[in-house]
Order: sequence, then structure tokens, then C-alpha cells
Amino acid sequence: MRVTRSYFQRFALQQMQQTQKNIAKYQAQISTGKKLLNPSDDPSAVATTEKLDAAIQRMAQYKNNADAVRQRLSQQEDVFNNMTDTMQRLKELSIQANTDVLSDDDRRIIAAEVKQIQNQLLDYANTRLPNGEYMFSGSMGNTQPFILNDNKVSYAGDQSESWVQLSDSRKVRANDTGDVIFQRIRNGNGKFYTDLKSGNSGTGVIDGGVLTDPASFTRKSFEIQFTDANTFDIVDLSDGSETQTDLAYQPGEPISFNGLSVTIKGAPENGDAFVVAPSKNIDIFSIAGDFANALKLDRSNPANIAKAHQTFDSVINNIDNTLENIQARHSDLGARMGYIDTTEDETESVAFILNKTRSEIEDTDYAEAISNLDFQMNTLEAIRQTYAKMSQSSLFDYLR
Amino acid sequence: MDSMKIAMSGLNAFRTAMGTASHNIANSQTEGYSRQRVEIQSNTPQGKDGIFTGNGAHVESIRRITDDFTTEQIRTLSSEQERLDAFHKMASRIDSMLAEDSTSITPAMQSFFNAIEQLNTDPASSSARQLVLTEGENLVSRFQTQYKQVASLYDEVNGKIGQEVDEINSLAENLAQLNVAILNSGAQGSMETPNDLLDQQERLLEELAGHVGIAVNKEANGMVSVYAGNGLSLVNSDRTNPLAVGRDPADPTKSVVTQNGIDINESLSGGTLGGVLDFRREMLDKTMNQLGRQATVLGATFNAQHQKGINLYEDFGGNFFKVDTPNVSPAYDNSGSGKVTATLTDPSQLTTSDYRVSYDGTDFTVTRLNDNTQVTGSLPAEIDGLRIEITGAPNAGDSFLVQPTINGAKNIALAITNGSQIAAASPMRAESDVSNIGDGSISTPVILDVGNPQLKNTVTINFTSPTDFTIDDGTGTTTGSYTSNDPIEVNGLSVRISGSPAAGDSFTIKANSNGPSDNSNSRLLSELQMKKVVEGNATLQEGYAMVVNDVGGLTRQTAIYRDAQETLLQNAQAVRDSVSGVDLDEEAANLARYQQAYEAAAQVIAISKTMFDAVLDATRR
Repeated sequence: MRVTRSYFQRFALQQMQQTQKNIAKYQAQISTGKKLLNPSDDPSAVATTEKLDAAIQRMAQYKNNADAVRQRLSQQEDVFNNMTDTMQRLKELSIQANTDVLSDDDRRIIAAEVKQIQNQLLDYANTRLPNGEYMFSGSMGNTQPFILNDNKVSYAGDQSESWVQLSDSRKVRANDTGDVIFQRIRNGNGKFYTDLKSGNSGTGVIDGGVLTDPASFTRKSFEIQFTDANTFDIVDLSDGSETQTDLAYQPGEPISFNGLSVTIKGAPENGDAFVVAPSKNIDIFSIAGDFANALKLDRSNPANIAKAHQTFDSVINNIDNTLENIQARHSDLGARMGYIDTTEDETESVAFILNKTRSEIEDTDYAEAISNLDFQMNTLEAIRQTYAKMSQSSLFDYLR
Repeated sequence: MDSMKIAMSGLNAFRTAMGTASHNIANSQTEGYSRQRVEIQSNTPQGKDGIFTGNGAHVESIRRITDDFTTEQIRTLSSEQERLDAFHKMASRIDSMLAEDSTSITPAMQSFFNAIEQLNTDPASSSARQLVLTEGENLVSRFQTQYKQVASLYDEVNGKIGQEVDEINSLAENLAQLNVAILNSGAQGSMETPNDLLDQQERLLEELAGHVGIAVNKEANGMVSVYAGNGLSLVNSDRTNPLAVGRDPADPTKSVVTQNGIDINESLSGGTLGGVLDFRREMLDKTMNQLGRQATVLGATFNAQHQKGINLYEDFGGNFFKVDTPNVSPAYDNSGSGKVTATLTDPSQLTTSDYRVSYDGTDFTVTRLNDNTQVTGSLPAEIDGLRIEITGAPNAGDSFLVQPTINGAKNIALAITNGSQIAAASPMRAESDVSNIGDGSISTPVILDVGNPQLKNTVTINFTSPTDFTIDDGTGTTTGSYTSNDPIEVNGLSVRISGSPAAGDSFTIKANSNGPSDNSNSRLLSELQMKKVVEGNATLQEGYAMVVNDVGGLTRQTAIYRDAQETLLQNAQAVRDSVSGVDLDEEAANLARYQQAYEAAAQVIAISKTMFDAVLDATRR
């Protein structure tokens, strides 16, 4: 091949330009810290980093979500703790009140505290979040959920659950609605409850009873009706039929029917009756209300004393049920907070991996870039030197 | 005397040879110059009595050293190289815009969905609602910015077409003039050539090939005929057939190249002009549609869910985004009164293609233009999530261009103006009666048909036994049997009851009021980001990543081809330099050689003179 001067010049120039292009590329990688500057540098890698960027941004939001829910739930946890303490105090008071050694003054002091406790419970039920919304009113954040009116409380919120996303695949419930915490408390032993029929004139009281044969238990209401001081019938209120008749009353002896067994003590009179009915939902405020009413009974009447004892027993029982309910809600809340923590840990490690992957894809490997740059600079230097040398030599120099 | 005459012929020949060497040296840096070589031949000998005596030498020709094959190869290669270079230069502009943090859709889209997530944690908050609006505004403005950047390339393509057409016309004019000059140079036959004029011709042809792909026909008299594309004459002896710029009848915003009033866009290829046209056809149109599709799918999908919720005023949410509607343009030569309309029915089926609807007198044919799939039948027709209808009376041969996505990125905007209009809540809520003793629970209602007139009726579900229930939908009562977690559909909504309800338990579904903290609908809105809504196989973010991948891929491919083409071109140029280039060392050697020969010939004259003097001296005695 005939190597002419123009060929040589063009060749050297191309080499220099190519080398300079490479130098510019490595320099940009070093100065920006990124080895992918445009999608065309590596289309699928850049498309991947776009998706990674979005995912990383999303993970940050999940962390915000987790923080927001955690804050809300821990505020709710405080409410649960306070409610537990308050209900414990109410239980102490009801045990105290259930003894016959108290004076009327003692009962008045207790009554004042019970009233205060009822207000406290109402305050808990109407707790507000930092944003001013009510904690327990479901989606009706601006509506006060519980209003006390003549010892009765109605729920004005709704049952909407608020779920918040914690990761691409996990979400958590961020609220508990007021009806669940304050209203849906099963009375009695969860299957049935017992009570005096109002208007009893004797001193008979009934215990809470036990379920002896769950298989034959039906959800029906019964009355134990005394036809005289020593005889009673068991009446099925659903159709008025008499299940058993003319039974002899033995105080403290178990009375069995409908798969359950109850015990009556004291001296019932003719016409007195005792209710055995399926458990129903009561609210937390009515427990305190029943307690307060029982304290107000005129104790000169022995029937009222029996009624008070009967009420205190069921109040104690219902306080235990309430505590169980709070406990169950509380442990559910604890489980959710634990779920948030573990999900957040996972999200963080996912975000870490995403960041690492992105960095591996798009960040400059400085050692590599600098050594490449060095190599290209040396190459350029070499091309320049050979070009300068070659350009200087000419046959004309020798033809003198 | 003979030897003196012979020596003179040598002197003349060598002087010409030295002149040519000087000419070569003088032009050693001239672009497109081909080195010339003197062909010296011996003169016809004189014969007498069977003895031939030499008669000296003469310059037979001065040849231009070229290689026609290489020259043509360079033209072809530089056509392709310029095409790829023009394509790549414009493609890089889109390329660098798409993934740049400050212009990319990706971070804006994610911030928008993050704002909705934020709203989920506090749906009544006016600042959270404002954030959704702000991020939504930012997202649509990203789409609009990208649209503007891509649209500006259309203007640039138009400008470039005009510029290229001017250059091509002026080069063609120069070639025609050169044809005349070559014809008038008086050179005849292959031995006598106007070397420097041919070099100029070669250079002009190469330059022209850089602007548009050409075919060259060389005539014996040195003139050239030049054809562009598939045989469109550009230069014919002293005449040119100039190109002009016209408007695309289907889309008047696009410039096209015409010749004698006829659109020749499709038959041009190669060179800068071909590159610009290819870029518009292969990348610009497609990218515009892809961006538009992203915007339209986002807007339409989001709207569909937003319409199912209620806002803080307890009204149905309606549209959150203003979404572009498909563009339909009738062909410029339609003769009937038919008017085609296209509406988007299912955004998840939307493609990035345009469609042509044509009428043959009985049937309509809808052609998907990116793969030429055809569906023939009557209108209205459903295709790719579009419903195509016609009103009026088209004539046979009429056609319409349907562009569902071209303006998607341009026309997307927010349809709501204040945060209270964001439909974060479900229009309906479900409740279990507080006296229920079973442990059955009811899910949040899912709205199936927001247009159902009875949607907001209060619905009561009463359990008559643990396995049977009655539904009062507000107009009448029906019965059903219970299976835990089976959907119960009523009045255009669906709920699920799970667990074990007891006889006497009841559940109510009623209109949501005073429920500002309800995030049921905004949660469904934020879940849209994980749904495969782009052609049913990609999420919105993945859809955009596909655009980035496509543009980046094509840009990269073009760069690789261009670099490969450049190497080929450089090799071909090296071959030409090797054949036609001037080598100074060679010329120096030639000069020395000719100089020696010249001195020798001069010496012959001196010797001849001495011989002649000797003869004169001898006769003087």
C-alpha cells in the first residue's frame, strides 16, 4: 500500500479525535459521577434505573406512611393504657361498693368518683388526633363520636376502616372504630347473662351461671318464675312455654336447663322472677351508669340491697369483659405496630438493595474511569509525538 | 542535428514532468485533488533501409490517478454516514431529555402517587389535598414540557428540510454548470481530460451525496447525470430538476419534499435529508405517540377510579385530569360528507399506532398503521380500546386518519382546581349493626357502576339464619344464601360479608356523609400505580421506561451504525488517499529523477554542440 502524506495526516487526525472523544467521555463520567448520562449509553440499564428511581421514591413514601400510622397507633395505645387503668379503678370501686359495711357517705364518695370515671371514659372515646380529627369516629373525623345523654351514649361515627400501604404488597389498618372499642362488649359470660327481673320484692339473687352442655345450649331467653317462696317454673320466653314446672327451691342448689346451670340464693318471694337470656352487646358507659344507679338505691328496702348486690356482681363481670375486650384490641394494635416495624425493616433493606443496584448500574467506577482516562491521555500523547516526528521528516531535507 | 532535436524533445518532456510534479506538490493540500502523472512515450522512429533510428520522446498524456470504484463507494458510504449522523444528532435531543431528572416523567409520576399515599394517611387534611394538586400540576406540566421539546423537533425537521433542499438545488446547479465547462474544455477522448475540472466534479458529487442519496451516470464526454432516490432526475447535462418544499396534506404542519409539484418524500433516502426524514418517520412520530399514550392512559385510568369516589362536598369526583380525545382528519381529497369520530373506551388496550379508516363503497376498513393489520366490516367498530363511528355519507375511496395519542401529552391537564374536589372517599359505607352477636364483618363497598341510579339507596342485609339472608335494596326484598367472603352485588356495588353472622344480625350499606376521613377511594387511586394498565402488560412507570428504552435503543443503534459507517468511510478514504493522494517524498524523488534526466538531455545538447563545433573546426582548416 502506498502511504501518502494525506493518508497519514487523515489517519493521525482520526486517531487523535477518537482518543479525545474517549477522554471527554471518561472526564464526564468522573465529573458527574455517573457512567450513564443518556438512555442511549445503555438503554435497558437506563430504563431499569428509571424504574429503580421510582421504586426508591416509593419506598421513602412507605416509610412516611409507616411513621404516620405508628404515631397514630401509639397515641391510641396510650388511650388503651389509660382505659385499662381507669377500668381497673372502676373494678376496685365496685368490689368496695359490693360490701355492706359502707356508710351512705362512703357510697356518695364512690358515686362521685364513678361519675368522674364515666366522664373520663367519654373523654377517651372522644380523643382527638394531632390533626384535630376524632380518633374513634371512623371516616367521620369531624364528628364527635360519643355523646352522653342521660347515662346513655350513642355512637355517631361510622365503621369505616382506614388502611395505609406499607410496602408494594402490604398494608395495615390505621384505625379502630369506636363501636368496636366502646360498644361491642358482650355481657354475662359471653353466651348468656343473668339478672333480676325488675320489680322483685324478695332478696333472692342469681349468680352468673355456667354453661354445662354447650351442645344443647340455644339462644333463647328464659325466666325462672317463683310461684311461691319455695316453688318455681322455668319459662321459655320465645313462646311462653313452661320448660319445667313446680320445681322446689333449694337456696344455693344449681338449677339446670338449656345446657346451662345457675344458682339462686336468698329469699325470693311469690311473683319474683330471674332472667337468663343470651348475651348481648353493651357499651362501656352503661356499665358505669348501672354502677352509679345501684349506688343510689334506697338501702332501707332489703329487696334493693339484693338488687344492688346483683348489679355490682354484673358490673364487676362486665368490667372484666371490657378489660378483656381492651386487652384483645390492645394486642391486635401491638401486632399491627410490630407488623409496621418488620415491614419497615424489610422496606428499608429493599430500598438499600435498590439503591445499591442503581449505584452499580449508573454510578462511575472511579478506579476504572481514572485508569481509562490515564490510558487515553497516554495514547493521545503518543499519537501527537509520532505525528510531530513524522511531519518533520521529508525527502526534500536531504536533496540539497 | 538529430541528437540535438532528440535531446530537445527530452527537455520538453522532462520540463512538463517537472511541471506536473510541481502541480502535484502545489495541490498536495487541496481537498479532492487527485495526483497527476505524466506519461512519456518514445516518438515514432524513422526508418530507412530497414534501420529504425530513435526519434526522442514526447508527453503522451497527463493522467489523473483515480479509482472509480472507490470514488463511488465513498459517495455511497458518505450518504449513509450523513443520514445516520443527522438522525443521531436529532435523536440525541430526545434521548437526553427523557431520563434527565429535571424533565423525566418518572420522578414526577412517583411524587404524584406519593402525594396520594400521603393523602391516604390523612384524607381530611387540606394540605395533603393541596399536595396532590401541586404534584398533579407538576406531572401534567412535565408531559407538556416533553411535548414541547418533541414538537420543537418537528419545526427543526421542517427547517432542516428547507435548508437541505436549498443546498441540494445549488449543488445540482453547480454540477450542471460544470457539465457545460467540461464539454467546452475541448478535451476529446479518454486521453485528453480536463483533470482539475473532473476533480471538482468528483468533489461536488461527494458533497451532494452527503445531502441526499444519489445515483451517478457518467457519460463519455465527461458530463454526469445525477438521480436522487429511485430514479428522480436531478441533473441532466446542463439542466437541473430542482426540489421544492411542500406541505403534507394529511398533516399540514409537516414539510415534505416535492419535485414538479409531486410529493417525493417516500422515494428519497440517504444523506442528511434522508436522515431527517427517517428520523421524523421512525422516531419522532413514534415518540410523540408513546408520550401521548402515557398521558392518556394515566389520565383516563385515573379518571375512571376518581369518578367512583366522592369529594369533600359529597359529590361524585368526576374527572381529575382533562384527557385528550383521539384526533381524526379526513383525507384532503375526500368527496363525501362522511365524518368519522373516535372515542376511547378502554385505555388499557390503547396502542401507540395511528389508524386509517377507508371506505370502498360497501365496507369500511380500519388499518392499524404500525403493522398494517386490517379489519374490514361496518361501523361503528371497536378496535384497540377505541370506538370508531361515522356520521354522514362517505363516498367510495374516502379515507380518514385516526390519531388516538398524538396530542395526548400536549392536552393533558388538571380538571379540578381545588383540593376539596379530590374524591378520596367512597360514596357508600357499610356497617354491621351494633347489636349483632355473630362475628360476621362486612367489607367496604366496591363501586362497580357509578351510573346506577339506585347506587345511593340504603341497603339492609338481614340474616334470618346463619346461612340465609334477605336483602332490601331500597325498592324490594330478595333472599340469598350465605357463603363467607362471597361478593354480594346490589345497586351497582359489591360487598363481601365474612365470618359467621348469627340469626338476627343485620348489615347496612348506606350513602357516605360526613366522612371526610374516608380514604377508601384514594387508596384505590394509589393502587393504580401497581396495575398493569399499559396495553395490559405494564404499569404506568414501566410504560414510561419502555419509551426511554425505545428511544435510547434506537439512538444507540444509530450511533453504532454511524460509527461503523464512519470506519468504512475512513477506510475508503484511506484507499483513495493511497491511490490518488500526493506523496511529497514521491514527488521529491520524481523531481530529482526528472532533474537528472533534464540535465542529461541538456548535456546531450552540449555534446552535440561540441560535435558540431568539431566539424566546423575541421572544415575551417
